[in-house]
Amino acid sequence: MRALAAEGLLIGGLCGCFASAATVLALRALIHPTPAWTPTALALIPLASLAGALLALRRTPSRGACAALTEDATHAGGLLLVEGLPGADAWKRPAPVAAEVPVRIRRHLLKSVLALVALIIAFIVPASWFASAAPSAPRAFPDITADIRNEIEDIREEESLEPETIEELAEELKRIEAAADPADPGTAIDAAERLRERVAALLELNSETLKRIVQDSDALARIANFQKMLEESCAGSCPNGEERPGGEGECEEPGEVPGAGSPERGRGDAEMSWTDPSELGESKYDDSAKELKPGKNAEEGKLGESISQEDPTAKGAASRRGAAAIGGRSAGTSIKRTVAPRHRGTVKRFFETERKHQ
Amino acid sequence: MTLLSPDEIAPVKQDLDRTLAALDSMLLGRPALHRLVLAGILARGHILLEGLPGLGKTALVTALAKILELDAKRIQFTPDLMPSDIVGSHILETRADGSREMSFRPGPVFCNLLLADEINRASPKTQSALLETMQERSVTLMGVTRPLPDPFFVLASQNPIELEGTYPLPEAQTDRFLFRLRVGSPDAATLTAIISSRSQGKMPDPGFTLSKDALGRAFDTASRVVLPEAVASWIGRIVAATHKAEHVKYGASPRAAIALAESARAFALLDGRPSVGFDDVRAVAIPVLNHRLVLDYRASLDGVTPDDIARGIIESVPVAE
Repeated sequence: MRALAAEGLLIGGLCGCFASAATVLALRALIHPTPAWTPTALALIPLASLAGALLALRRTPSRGACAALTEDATHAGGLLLVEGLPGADAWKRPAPVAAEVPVRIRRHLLKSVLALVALIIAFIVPASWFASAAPSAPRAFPDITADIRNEIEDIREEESLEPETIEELAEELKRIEAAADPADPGTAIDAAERLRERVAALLELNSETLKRIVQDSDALARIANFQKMLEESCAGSCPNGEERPGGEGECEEPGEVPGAGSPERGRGDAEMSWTDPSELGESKYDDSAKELKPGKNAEEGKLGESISQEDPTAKGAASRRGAAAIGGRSAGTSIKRTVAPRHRGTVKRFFETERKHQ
Repeated sequence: MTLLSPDEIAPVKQDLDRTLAALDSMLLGRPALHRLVLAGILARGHILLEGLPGLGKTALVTALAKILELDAKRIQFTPDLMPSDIVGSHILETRADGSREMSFRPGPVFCNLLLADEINRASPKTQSALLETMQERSVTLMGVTRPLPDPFFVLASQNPIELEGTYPLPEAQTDRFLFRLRVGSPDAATLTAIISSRSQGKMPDPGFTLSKDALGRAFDTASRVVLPEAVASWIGRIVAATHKAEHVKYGASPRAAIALAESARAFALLDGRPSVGFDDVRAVAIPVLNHRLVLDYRASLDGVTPDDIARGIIESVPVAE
């Protein structure tokens, strides 16, 4: 009985450790900014502990039940149940066999270690684990492809991109879906993610172009406005800047005035001189470029600096896109982020997949 | 409530041990059956013995009657047996002075130990007469109630085969029996011992007889064996569980709970203890419950017997509430 009582005490202590650890975790999660689900999930832990404790309390047998169980286990013939009755002292009761009460010391030690570890971990868990930057759970391949398909449909409806580009994206999506291997979902997911990034990049580029057009149209409006203002202010002047004779008289024609030439007529009254084409780079470029067949690299040194045989470097949209995804960084700068241990496998697989593609 | 002292129990246990030893010496190879029969006697219950012909059912009753020095009688039940053949009847007698009057001639039921052989061959009317007598322990004829001798036990036997032309006992009537015990075939070693040591299979005389006073003392001692509350609670839950068990159409009656308690007391006394333990209940639970459970048709289809169900209930009901 003492062994059982000690065992119960130990188990109760262990339960207390686990419950304390759960409570600490929940409190820390509530203090730190967390994703929406985290407080709810962590709050369930102490609730579950409480429910378990209540259940354990309910299942704890009464003193009479303990006596009945002991009586049954020891086959005492009811003598343990009639303790206290007059005349009971005259009967020898078979003592409960201690060896039949299994006290699993190793198991209890292991439980104690686990409980202490849980308690310690509850205090030293990094705050970043509770932060909203915590990675979301990986999505399933069908979800990703469904999103991409929806995006493509939206683009098609809004006519945000060229029809050929839209068809190309749709074909690419079909190809990825067809090539998806259930045994290796990571590769398919990576390919789908790349396609999604490409769609996002195209949309971003398109939006930038639109924005530029809008900006250009503003500039044109401003120029038109400026021109209008200029015409109004120059209403009493001739094109050469001199005032009209008498305010409303006819201005002299350009060229008639020495030193007041125009691009059409050259300087002053000088005649245009037409000579052979100059040996500038652009004419040589045209001749050389026309000789090139599609897909053929130019010979080194034959062309100017504008053509290079080196691999293209990532600039422009892709870098900007990467920067935009991270946020707060300028385009083209390197991205440094500490990869959590549990994500290292995923990152490694991602880069391995990239290598295969290249 | 005072617990029996070892000094009170010791002589009774000694008598009971010697009784069992005598029974075992007269009928070879069935110590467990003998123990249950003696427990049934101590619990003042009637016992239904079920077994094939020639397995020693009648011999058991005869041996018991000899050992216990009881007045034993036997009735061979037949379809034309009438109630008056059992309980007795009034007949018109002529006295010496020439006057005539109705006088009562007691039937064979007026004894201590009655063997009702092949009880299921008698008509329901006759069976009811006997079973009524078993319950009331008295006979009422023409408005006069006559008590049966004390103690009074019925050990009935029935053959589980050759059921053609029989009247199976209704469930309400089998409930009157404390135990239903199955008498099985003895093993080869027992058969060898019987034929090698006994001429014509005759039983030897018992080396020990238990007097009526000693038997009365044993009854008194058995009734003082304490039934702990936890054990009583377990018995109650076992009987209640029979009503909820699968394949059971009707569960055991309150009479079953009483029978369990009394027979467990007797079993504890046979073991020389002043209190009933869970093991005592387990020892008597199946013989007490197996004829009190009315099974549904699915039990027949699934091949489930009342013994299986009783065993399952005992194992499933926890001793601690």
